[in-house]
This record gives sequence, C-alpha cells and structure tokens, in this order.
Amino acid sequence: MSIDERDLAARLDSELGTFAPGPLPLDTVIRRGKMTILRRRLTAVAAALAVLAAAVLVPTLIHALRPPPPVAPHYRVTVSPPGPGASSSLVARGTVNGARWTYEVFTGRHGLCEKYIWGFADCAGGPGSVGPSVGPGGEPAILSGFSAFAKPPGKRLVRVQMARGYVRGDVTRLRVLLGNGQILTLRPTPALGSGHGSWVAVAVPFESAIRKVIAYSAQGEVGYAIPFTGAQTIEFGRWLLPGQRALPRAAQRLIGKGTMRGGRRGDAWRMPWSVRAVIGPWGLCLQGSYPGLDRCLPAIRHVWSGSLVARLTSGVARLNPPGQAPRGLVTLQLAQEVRRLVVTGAGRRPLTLIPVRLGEWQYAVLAVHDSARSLHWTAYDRSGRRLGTGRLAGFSANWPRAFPLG
Amino acid sequence: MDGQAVADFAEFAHSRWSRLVRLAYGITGSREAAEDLAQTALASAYASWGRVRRADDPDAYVNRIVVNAHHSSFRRRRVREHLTATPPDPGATAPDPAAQHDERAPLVAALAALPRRQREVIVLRFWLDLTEAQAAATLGCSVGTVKSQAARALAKLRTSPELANREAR
Repeated sequence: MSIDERDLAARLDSELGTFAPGPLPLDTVIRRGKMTILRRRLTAVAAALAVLAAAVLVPTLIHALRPPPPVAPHYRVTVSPPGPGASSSLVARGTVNGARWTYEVFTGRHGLCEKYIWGFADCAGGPGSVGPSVGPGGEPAILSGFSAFAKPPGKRLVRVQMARGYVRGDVTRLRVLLGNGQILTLRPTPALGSGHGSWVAVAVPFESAIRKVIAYSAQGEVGYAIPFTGAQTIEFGRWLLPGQRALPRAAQRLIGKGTMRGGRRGDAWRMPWSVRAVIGPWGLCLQGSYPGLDRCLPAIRHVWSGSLVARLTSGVARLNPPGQAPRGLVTLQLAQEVRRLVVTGAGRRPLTLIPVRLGEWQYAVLAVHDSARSLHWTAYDRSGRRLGTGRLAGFSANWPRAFPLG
Repeated sequence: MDGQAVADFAEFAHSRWSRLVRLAYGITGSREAAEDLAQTALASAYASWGRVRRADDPDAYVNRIVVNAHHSSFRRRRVREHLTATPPDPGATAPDPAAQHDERAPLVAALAALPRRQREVIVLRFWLDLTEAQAAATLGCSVGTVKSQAARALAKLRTSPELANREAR
C-alpha cells in the first residue's frame, strides 16, 4: 500500500471510527423486516390469487397490512440467589428463555474452580489457590464474561453468555440493566467463605444484552460500569463514579494488520492477522482476528508523562499454528508526537510502524518471536526529527507483565 | 421466526450496527441517511434471516444491502425530478444529503464531493479493508472498475479543495 493509500486508510479510520452512531432501534428494524416479509408474501398471494374476487380478499389484506406493534428484544432472563439448602459453593442460578443455568465457585486440589451446569469445573492456579478479593480502595466489582451453557427442559444444551465475578467488601448488590428493559438484582454470595470476596453471576442470551451494571453499598450507589461486548466477550474494564459521564465515546480503529509466515519449503505456513482498538467507557479493548488476541485494559493512559512508547500490559498474544515456532503480537501505545517508529534488532530488517490515532493516543502492533532478543525502537516526529530511542525487551510466552519504555 | 432466531438476529444486529452506520456515513455524508440505510440493511437481513445466517459471509450480505439501498435512494431522487411537470423551485428541492454543511469531518466532506461510485469504492477498499474482488462483488461491478474508480477518486482527493481548506485552518 502506498503512503497515500495508507494515509487515506488512517484518516478514514480516524473520521469514521470516531463517528458515533445513535443506539440501534431494534424494534424498528424488526418491524421493517416483518413488513418486508409481508410485502413479499402479499406479492406472491396477489400473483397466485389474481383471478379471485376482490371482495373476498380485501378484508384479509387490510388486516394483514396493519403494522404489528413495537416489539422488545425477544428474551427473558431470571437470576436468583442460592436459597436455603443449596450447596455452599453455589453463587447463583437462573434461566435464559426458560433454559436453566447455575454457577458455582470453590477451591480444591486443582485450584480455584468454577462450575456451570455442564457438570465439570474449570480450575486454575493449582493446589493452595485462595479466593480473590477486592481491597477497600479497589473497584466495586471485578467482572468478566465467558461462554457457557444452559439447559432448556427436555432439550439439548443452549449456549449463553455468563458474566461473573467478585465484589468489594462494602458492595451489597449489583443491578444489571439489560437491552430488553429488564433490571436484575444480583446479591453477592460468600461462596468461598468469609475472608474472601463474595461472588455474583448472571447469564444472558448474547453478549450485548448487558448494557450497564450499577453497584450499591448500604449507603447507596458506589459506581457503575458499561461493558465492552464482542464475540464471546463481556468485559467490565473500568468503573465510573456515580454521575460521572460515560466517556470517552465509543470509537474503534484498525491499528495493525499483517501476515505471519514461517516454516520451510513444503511446510510453509502463513496466517493473516489484524488487531482493532476499541475505546469507550470501558477503557481500551483490543480485538484480534483470532481468539486469544482480545484484551481489555482498564486505563487508557499507559504512556507516562515524558515517555514516547509504552508496551500495553496485554502480554504477547501467541499466533502460530501448532508445532510451529511461536510468534506473537505486541501492542504499543505511543505519544501523540510520534509519527514513525522504526524497530530494529534480532537479525530482522528495520520495520517501520506508522502509529494509528484513536482518541487521545496512538497505537501500533508489532509481530515478534517469543524468544526474540531485545529489539530497539527509534521514534520520529512529523518532520523526520528523531524524538528518542528505547528498547523492547525480549519476550516469552509467560506474559502478561509490563515493560515501561521510553 | 422462533425466539432463538430472533435472539440470534438481535445479537447480529447489535454487533453490526455501528459498523454499518459508519459505512453508510462514509458513503452518504449524512447521519440521518446513514442510520436509515443501516436500518434498511438490517431489516432486509431480518426478512431473509434464515439465508443470511447460513451464508459464508453475512457481513458481505448487509454491506451489499447498504450499497444497493443507497443506489435506490439515488434512483428515487432522479425519478422524482423527472416527474416534475415544471422546473422545481430550488427551495423545494430535496436537499442532497451528500452536499451538506461543513460540520462533517474534512475527509468525509471531501468524499461527498466525489461521484457516488468513487465514494463507495474508497470507503469499501480503504475503510472496510475489502480486497478489490470483494469490493467488486459488493458493488456488482468488475475488478477493473474498482481499480479505475479508486485511482480516479484518489487523484481527486489529492487535490480536494475541501481537504486543503480544512487543513489550512
């Protein structure tokens, strides 16, 4: 792509990416869709019954032409606390369109485990893991989503999206606002016992059903969060204070793309990749073209005052076919004055990165080898003047950890 | 359509809405027209949901609807003008949404000055990142047409007074 075309792509991304559409009028869309279906059927009916008397057809057609009433999104969610006699590890239970789900947490020899209706637990941390908790100065809740299952009576499992996590000690309830108008109340459950955070969970039919979560203590509202949602993603990256404006406005841009290549003749492979940055009230989220590339970061500002380049604490997202030498992607945040970043070292040809601006900051994505030796960067401004240099330390698969640079 | 299908469609619509509106805004330069085109595309997807969700690329389907709906709105405006018995009063002419006030971002305003097909090619190729073949399939034209329209559009944008004026401020 020539510089002109790249410039055009970057400017289009900037102007269109920051253009904020209004909310989706789903009931209007569905109503118009139903009218389209009706028109098609009427056309077919009219063609097939053209010879019949109009006096017979007119009343039926007039009734059919009456616009259907506005419709809310078609789903219904319930959630309830464990109740008397329930297992001590049960956090919550409920239904999604009649399909039942449960959510449990417990610690054991495999670590901290979570179990949903499917019947086996996902565990992490190994023996001796303790339940997490949020300190008094922390966020009202630590929540995130994952893809789970629910069981409709007499039918096969259906996929749902579950949001769960643990709350700060003073939080007594969460209110969850859904896109269909429902407002659910979640009561934290001390499923891991006293001394550990109390847990909450709720399941919804799809990710974007959750519009907002509000946390309350005994004294009232303590904060709210608007989740970032995407394919199998519900992330609550940032909590806002009561009354705080939900900024920045949602915007997104493609911040990097390329093709990974490797292997030898007869065994060569190539894998195209891309990363998109999405900013909004949730902070900054990175969406990749493959699972595992997605990250959400609570704070948008990572570049320290006076710094030019910061490596976002997103870790290295591994991107390589099984059995092949590992490759990964690293996302960088760059100061506004950086117009060009040249990366050298580890036997590679100099690579020029043109940062992409989104909101206040700029971003770039760099493909690296997991075992790469240090790479060096040099930043230039618009006029080509060198702004500074720095080092990108070697990488391993055991990320995330932070490497402040610049 | 059963409840699960409606829920699936709602998920699809929510996840595509912003992108479709931005695509339409790049093509039309008008917020109102953009949201209407995006609604049209999603309503059409709803009406054909069984086919859309089985398609290899549902996004290509709704992209095509946005472009075709834009063409339809152009044709409707042209037909309205031809049917007018007397020359229309300039004040009564429906405003061209692509020739609006200058509150739009500079590049979007510059795009509005391009012919419709060139505008569409620029947005599909350089914002949606479609390949030439994909853009041609969306627009219903040949790859050669996409290439030539892109080249002409780029040449015009390089000398766009709209961009020069905005950047000189």
